Amino acid sequence: MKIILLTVLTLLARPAWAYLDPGTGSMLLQVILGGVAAVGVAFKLGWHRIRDALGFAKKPGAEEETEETR
Amino acid sequence: MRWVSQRSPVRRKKRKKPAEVSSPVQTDFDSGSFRDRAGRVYLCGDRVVRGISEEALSDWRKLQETGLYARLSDAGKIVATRALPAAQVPLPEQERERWAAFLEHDRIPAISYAYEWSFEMLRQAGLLTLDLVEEAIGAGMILKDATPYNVQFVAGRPVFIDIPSFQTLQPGSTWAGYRQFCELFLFPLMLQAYKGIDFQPFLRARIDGVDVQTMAGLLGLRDRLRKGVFSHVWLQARLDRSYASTRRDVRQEIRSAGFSKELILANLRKMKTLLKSLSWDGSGSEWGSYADFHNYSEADLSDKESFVEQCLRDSGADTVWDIGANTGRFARIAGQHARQVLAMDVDHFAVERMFRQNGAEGVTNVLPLLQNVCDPSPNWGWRNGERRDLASRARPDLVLCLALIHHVVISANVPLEEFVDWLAGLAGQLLIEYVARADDKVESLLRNKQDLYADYSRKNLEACLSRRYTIRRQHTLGSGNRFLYWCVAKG
Repeated sequence: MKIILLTVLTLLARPAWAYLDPGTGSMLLQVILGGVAAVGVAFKLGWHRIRDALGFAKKPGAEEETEETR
Repeated sequence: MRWVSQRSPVRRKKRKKPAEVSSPVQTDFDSGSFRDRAGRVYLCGDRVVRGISEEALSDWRKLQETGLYARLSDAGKIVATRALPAAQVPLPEQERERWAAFLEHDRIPAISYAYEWSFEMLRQAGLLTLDLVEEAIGAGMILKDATPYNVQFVAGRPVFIDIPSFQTLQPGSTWAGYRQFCELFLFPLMLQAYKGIDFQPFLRARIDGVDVQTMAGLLGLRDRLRKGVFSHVWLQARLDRSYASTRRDVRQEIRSAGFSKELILANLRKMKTLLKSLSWDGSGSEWGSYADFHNYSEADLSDKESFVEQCLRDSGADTVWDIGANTGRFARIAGQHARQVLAMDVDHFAVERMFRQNGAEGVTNVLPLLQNVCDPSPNWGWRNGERRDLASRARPDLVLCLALIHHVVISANVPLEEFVDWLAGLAGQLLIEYVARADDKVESLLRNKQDLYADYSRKNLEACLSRRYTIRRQHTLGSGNRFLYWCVAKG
C-alpha cells in the first residue's frame, strides 16, 4: 500500500514535460552506461545512491530513511 | 510559407473567402495517434493531415531552420511533410480550431506493425531510430519517444513518420525514449537473437512491448554474459525496482550533476554497435530454413510461374495480397505487374528471407509481413482501435492463394466453404491453387490425424468458387495433383 501511494505521489509530482515516462531507473542507467565519460556526472550524483539502489550497501527501505533525514 | 496562428481562427475565417476551404471530405482520427497531446493525425480521404500544438509548431520550425528536415527527408529517412495553409485544411471547423497549425504527410502505401515484421525489419527500424536521435542531437533536438509504430516500410526501407517526435533538447536531460527503445526494439531483438524465441507474439500481446522485469525473468544467469544483457536488462531491472517508488526528483539531480548530450551520444553509439551485433539464423523455423521446401518438378514450377504471371498481367490488379507467400517467389512476380504487393507468411524465417532477398534484388513494391490468416493481426489497444487489423489498413484487388488451402482447411480446421467466403469478401479477384489429396504434402498433413475433412475436395472447391466467383481460367500442373484457378467475383 505504501509503495502504491509513493508511486502515485511520484507520478503526480513529475513535471509534465513529456508524455512518455522515461523511468527513473532507466534514467540512472544512462549515467552508468556512459562509462568513463560519465565518471564526473556519476561522482556528482553521488555514486553511493546508485550503489544503494543496487542493494549492495543498504537494507531495503534505506532509501526512504535517507530521504527523510536529509 | 505562411503559418496558421492558433489565436485567430475566427478572424482568419472572416478574412477568408469560404470557397478557399476545401469542402470537408470523409475524415477520421487516426486511431493510433492519441497518446502525444502535441498533435493528432487525421485521415481525410486519401490525405494524411496532422494538427499540431503551438509547442510542436515551434519544434517543426526548428526542424526546418536547422536544415535537419531537409537532410533527413532527402535521405528518405523521414516521411515527406509540408505545412498546410489553413485554407487548404480539409477538416471541419471545430477540428481546425483545435490546433496551432497543420502539416500534411505523404501517404504511406501500406501501414504495417512491428509484430508483423521480421527480425531484420525490426533491427533496421531500430537502427533508423538511433540514427535519427543522433542526427537530432547534432541539431539541438531529440526524439521524444522510440517506438517502432513511428516507423513504416516504404519501398523496402524504414521511414520515420512521427514528425512531432522531434523536439528541442533540454540541456542536461537524458534520452526519455531509452526505456521505450529497450522494450520495443532491443529486448524483442535480443529474445530472437539470444533465445531463438519469436518476438512478434510478445509485441502483439503487450502494446508497450517487453517490459524490463519480464525480460529479466526470461533470461537466465548464463545469458547475463551475452552482449548488452548485464547492463540493459539485469541492471535496468534492478534500478527499475529500486527506484520505482522514489520521491526524489532524479531527473533534476541528473541534470545538476552535469549530464550532457555527449553522454547520450556515447550511449547511442554503443547501442548501435549492440544492435548491429545481434543476428538470427532462423533456427526454429519450420519453412524458411529449408532452401528447397516445395515438391514441384522444375517443369511444374515453371508451368505454374507462367500461368500465374499471365493471369496477374491480365488481371489489371493494382494491389495484390499474397497469403502464404513463403519466401516471395510469386509475390515478386506479382510485383512486376501490380503497384503494391503485401506478401504474407506465417513463418518468421520465410518472411526474413523474403525481406533480405527483396533487398538484394532491389524489389521495392513487395512488403513482406508475418501474418497468419487463421490468427490474423487483431484490432486492439485503446478502444480496440489503436492498432488495426490488416483489412482495415489496406485492401487488395487480387488475392494470391497458392498451395495454402490445405493448411487452412486441414491444419487449421477452417471449413473450406468458409475460407472461400472470406476470400470473396476480401477482394474482387482470386488466384488459388488447390493441392489434391494424392499430393504428398496433403498426405503428410493427414498422416497422423483423423480425416474429418470430407469438404476438402476439388469438386467442393469448384462448387464453392462457382457460388461466389466466375472462374475465368483454370490450369492443371503436369503432376496432376495441383490445380490453379483464376476467379473474378460475381456482381
